[in-house]
Amino acid sequence: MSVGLNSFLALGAVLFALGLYGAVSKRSAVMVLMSLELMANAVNVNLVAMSRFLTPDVLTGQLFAIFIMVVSAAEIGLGLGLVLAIYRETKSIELTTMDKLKG
Amino acid sequence: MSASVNGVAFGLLAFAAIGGAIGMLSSRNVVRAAFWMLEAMTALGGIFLLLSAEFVALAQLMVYAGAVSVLMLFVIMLTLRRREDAVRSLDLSVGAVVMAAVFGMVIYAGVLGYRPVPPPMPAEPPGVAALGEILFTHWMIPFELASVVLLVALVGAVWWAGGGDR
Amino acid sequence: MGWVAAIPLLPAGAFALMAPMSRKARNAARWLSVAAMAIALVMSLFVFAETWGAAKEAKHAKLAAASAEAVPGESSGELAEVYRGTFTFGRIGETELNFGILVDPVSAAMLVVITLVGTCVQVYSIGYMHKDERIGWYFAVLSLFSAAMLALVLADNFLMLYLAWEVMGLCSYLLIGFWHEQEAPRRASQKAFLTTRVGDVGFALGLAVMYKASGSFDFDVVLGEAAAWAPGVALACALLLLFGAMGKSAQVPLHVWLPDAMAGPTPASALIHAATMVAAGVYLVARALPIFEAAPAALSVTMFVGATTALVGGLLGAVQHDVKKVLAYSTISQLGYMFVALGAGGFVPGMFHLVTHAFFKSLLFLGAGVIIHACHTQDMREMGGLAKRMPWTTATFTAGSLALAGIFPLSGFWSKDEILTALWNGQHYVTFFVALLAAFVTAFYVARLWFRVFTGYAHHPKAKEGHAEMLAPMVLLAAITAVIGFSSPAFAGFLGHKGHWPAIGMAVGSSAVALSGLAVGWWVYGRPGAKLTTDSLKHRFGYLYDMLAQKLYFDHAYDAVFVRPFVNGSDALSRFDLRVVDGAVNGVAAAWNRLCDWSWAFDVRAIDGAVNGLGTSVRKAGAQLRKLQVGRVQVYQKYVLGAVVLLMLMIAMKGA
Repeated sequence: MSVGLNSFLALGAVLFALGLYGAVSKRSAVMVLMSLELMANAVNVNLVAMSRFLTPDVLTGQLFAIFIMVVSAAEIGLGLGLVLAIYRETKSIELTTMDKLKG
Repeated sequence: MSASVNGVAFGLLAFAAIGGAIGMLSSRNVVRAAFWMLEAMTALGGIFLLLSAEFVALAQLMVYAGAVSVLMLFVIMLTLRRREDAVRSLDLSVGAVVMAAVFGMVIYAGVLGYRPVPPPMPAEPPGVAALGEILFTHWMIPFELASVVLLVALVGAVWWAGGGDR
Repeated sequence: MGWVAAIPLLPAGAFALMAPMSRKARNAARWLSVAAMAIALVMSLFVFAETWGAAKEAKHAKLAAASAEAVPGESSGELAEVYRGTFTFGRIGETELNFGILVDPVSAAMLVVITLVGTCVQVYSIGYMHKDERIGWYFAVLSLFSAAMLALVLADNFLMLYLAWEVMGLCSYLLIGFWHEQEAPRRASQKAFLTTRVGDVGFALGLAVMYKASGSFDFDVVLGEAAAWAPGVALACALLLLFGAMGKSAQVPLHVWLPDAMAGPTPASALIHAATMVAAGVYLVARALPIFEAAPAALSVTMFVGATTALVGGLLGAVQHDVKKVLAYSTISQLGYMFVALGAGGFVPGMFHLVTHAFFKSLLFLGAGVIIHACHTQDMREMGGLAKRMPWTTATFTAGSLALAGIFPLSGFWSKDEILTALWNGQHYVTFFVALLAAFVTAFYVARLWFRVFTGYAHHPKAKEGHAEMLAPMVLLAAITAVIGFSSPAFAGFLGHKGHWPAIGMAVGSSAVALSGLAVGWWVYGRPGAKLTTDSLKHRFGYLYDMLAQKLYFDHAYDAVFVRPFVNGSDALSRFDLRVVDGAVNGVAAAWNRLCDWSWAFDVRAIDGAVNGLGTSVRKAGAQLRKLQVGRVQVYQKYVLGAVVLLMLMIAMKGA
């Protein structure tokens, strides 16, 4: 048994949807950040799979995956820094309590 | 390099990755959720290895399975006053389920109908050496910029987390 | 024989099934772990039988070949390989990453030892841990550990060995800190993890040297080429590997974690910190022996480390009051014996002592577990007189003690004798006498332990014998301990060497030493009318006793040399941060503030006037729109997501 590009794209789609659900529904800031990581990873799966099956001799997809990793590592560092800062202010990491911008 | 990969390995790894994601979303304990995420990320590392992207696989392991997971656990540790705080409600949201499911299904349907023309495959995957060469020639400037991004993020995160009100 | 791969996969599967379960389900599923281990035991026995047959054939073939040549006699010590299978799971550049399985006499013997002791410990644990509310997790980790250890002995390359090695380190950490609600186990687990990590760094560097020298991790390639390496390379590689082994096998000066590791559950100590994991270092050195032989200095270092450890461990064990700590130091000392044997080039004695030690030391630990359960203390000053209350435990524990002391016909006698013979024949006379001295000390503390626990005043007159499922494994282990010694020459033949029965002179000599040690122990602790305090000893050897009681100051020295400078350094760095780094950042911030002030002044005068008029009209519109803005980021996220989904549906409809 062997599989091709479509299976990988499907895996990426499922993971992305799961991450999306988590990012929208979870009320804990940490859980939301985890879901965001999941989405970034789903994108990486797509990129690397595309690179492997469609442009096997140039590595653009892999390089993009690496850059996405860089950006999401930066994002997670900043995100968690923010969570800590907010936690120090409000003693809570619930997103529902973060409504200072309420109109 | 052939136009397809080992289906059994893919099946196992995809099962592990999706299972990890579902475990992460459906676990009440934040610490467990972080470990489920670690599991999913590790499985995705295997997926990358399957796609003969060895460097991405290793970076995946080091960045996600290593650094990000540890960071998550640290923040969880720092933001819990008591052990019981780790257990939370599941935050089920029907609207989110429906929207994410529709989103996923539309993409899934699109993916299944996608029939690209496979290009001729080279005999050997390009390998790590080729990746390194491109990264340090053609992609030199983005690469350096990425390091600047990381530095800025590092400084910013330290500033925020370490008390920006000074 | 591809099914060999199932041996480590069975317990690994048990762990994978148990880990995601809820606590309740996991507690109920503990039989899964036991069953996996029992099946692995049966399979290991089959592997052993098959390997035994193959080794015999190989020996006959070799003898036939040897008789054709001029010189018959000493066989070359090559191991008969029975099965090899590799599974490549990835490639990085030119290098293939393999999971390889190698079955030869060494791994077959280790398989049986691990699964046998493992099964005994698991059955015993059902009784020992039955009241613990996290028993399921305990069994899951025990399974993962067994899987890692089995994978370690089946590995056909150093990289996989290293992987399994690290997984074992993790399990050891988890099991030592199993009762992490208490302070001592938590600290002990961290100490164990960090100390072994120091050794592991050496191991990793050794792997790097190895890869640099031969471009491979395979046992075949590396060990075949080792003799041809530059002497410096071989020496560096051997010493680094030895350093890793010293961390894992708790050799001086990296032994400090093992006594503290006794804070974990006793059966786990029996399996991990007596029989298997700590022996992994010995196994590593035994496997890599060709590299050591390529650099004779490394062999001397191994022997020196082993001899030091054998003596120091024994001496420290002789002043401990905690039953488990006595056994822990004894383990350290016996592991030192194995290193001595390997350092003298004695592959077979080292491995045989590993096997016999695994059985009798796990037996002693299991016995100690029963005793601790009965007395609710680990301090042997508060025990005594248990012989009448606990006949089964006493009998099996006595067998284990005599084996440890090296009394004929129990297993310890045979393997110790082989080691001493190897030392004598190798003309390592100084080491020989150190080993003899260590044997004397061993017999002494064995007697001390035995007389303190089983004779004298009964502090716990109502102590009860353990459950059947705890006693059965002990009886089995005691039986093995009693008879396995007689297989000594056959075992040597199995490993491809010529076996000998012990020479009568050596046997009498070592027995005399052991008996005199026991006699001294009896005189001090067991003699009718002997005062059961350490006072007399303390007075006579005050300074020496203090030194030993403080564990030769190893912990103090580490604290002063490594821990405190590290803390001080961190403090200094933090001060640097406050003064220099923060100063710079504050300066930039002040400049920026100044700039903003100017900008503000411009803003107020020039722009505000123009904007205010526009502003009022926008505000009115905003008052309507603000009802949408609940301020919660996820509500906005839902808006966005809804819009995207709608858009996608529209595109999909249009496309269809």
